[in-house]
Amino acid sequence: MSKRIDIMDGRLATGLRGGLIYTEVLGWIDLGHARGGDIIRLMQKINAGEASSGKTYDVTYSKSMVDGKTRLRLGKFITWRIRKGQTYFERQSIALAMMMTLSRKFENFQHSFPNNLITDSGFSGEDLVSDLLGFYRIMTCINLFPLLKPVSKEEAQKRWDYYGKIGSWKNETFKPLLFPDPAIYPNPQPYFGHLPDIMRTITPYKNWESGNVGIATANGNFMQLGGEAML
Amino acid sequence: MRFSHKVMLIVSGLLVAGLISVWPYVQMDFAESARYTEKDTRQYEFYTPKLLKNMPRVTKNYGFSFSNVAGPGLLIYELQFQGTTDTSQIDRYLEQHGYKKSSTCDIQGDCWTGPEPKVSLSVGIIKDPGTLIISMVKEP
Repeated sequence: MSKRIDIMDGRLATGLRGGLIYTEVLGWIDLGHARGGDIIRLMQKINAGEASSGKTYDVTYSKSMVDGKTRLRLGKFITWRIRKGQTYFERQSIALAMMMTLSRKFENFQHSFPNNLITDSGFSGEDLVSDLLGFYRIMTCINLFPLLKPVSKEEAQKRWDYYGKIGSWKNETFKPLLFPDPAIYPNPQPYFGHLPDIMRTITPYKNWESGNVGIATANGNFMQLGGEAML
Repeated sequence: MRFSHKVMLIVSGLLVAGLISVWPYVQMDFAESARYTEKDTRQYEFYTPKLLKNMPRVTKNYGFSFSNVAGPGLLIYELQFQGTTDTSQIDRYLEQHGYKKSSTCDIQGDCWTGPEPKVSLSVGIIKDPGTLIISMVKEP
C-alpha cells in the first residue's frame, strides 16, 4: 500500500532500492517490486534444474508478505515441472510466465477478504508493471530508468494530489497506467500506455502442447513463522 | 462508591492507558512504510537497524525510511544523505564492520556483502542532486 510519503525524486531512481516514483513511460513504479531479486532466484533455480540429473526438475516460485517484527510470512506459490533441455530463451520465457501467473494470484490474494481490510495494495495501479520492470532489469542487465523518463518528486506529488492515491486505481494487467499532467491537460483521465519495445522482447511461455512444461502445484498457499523462507 | 466498582474503574483506566501507550507501536508494526528523521525518536528506535544508527553522519541533512514490500517479501531500511557524493567515511565504517565491496551492483553505486547472507547493503551515489542512499535489504 503506497503512501504519499513514499514518493521519491525520480532522479534518484538508479540509486534507490525502495520507494515510489512516477515515470512518463510506465506510470507509477514501486521500486521495491521492481528490484528483481525474486527473478534472479527464479532463474538460478531453473538453471540449477537444467544442470541436475534426471529427466525433469521442479521449480517453485513464491510471493509473500511479512510482518516486520514477528517474521510471520503469508504467501502464495506455484510449482512447475520442466523437462530438461530448455534453451536460455525458453528458460526466460518460462520465468516470465511463472512471474506473470503468480503475480496475478498474489494480487488477487491481497485483494480478497480478509487481506483487503488491512491493505488496498491488491492490484494497486503500480504493482504488476513494477514486477515486469523488475523482470526486465534482471534479464537485460542495463539501466532502464533513463528510457522510462522519471519525473521529479514535486511533479509526482502533483499527480498524486490530483488523482488520489495509486492504491485506489486498480490495474489487473501488465500495461502501464498513465496519469497525464493535470497542469497541461484539461480534465485529464488515466489511460493505458504501451510498454517500451525493450520490455516486450520476451514472450511468456505458452507451448503447453509440447509437454515440456507441466504444472505440479497450480495455486499453493503457505504460512511460515520465522526463520529463513523455505519456498 | 462500592469497593468493587472502584477496582473496576482502576482496572479499566489502566487498560485504556495501556492501550493508548501501546497503540503507536501496533501502528508502526503494521505500517508498510515510514519516513522519519532522528528526531522522531519513537520511529527511529523502532525501525532503524543498529548498522544505520551508528553510521557516520556525513552531512547534516539526512533522513531515514522503512518499506515492507509485499510480493517480494522484502524489508528495506534506508538512510539518505543530501549534499554529498563522498562515500569515504561510509566505506571505512562498512569495512570496519566486516563488509566487503562487491564487484558488481544492481544500482548506481556500490553493493556490499557482509556477515549476514540474507542482508544486502548498497550505497547509491547520485551526482545531481548530490545524494548518498544507504539501503539495507532483508531478503526472504
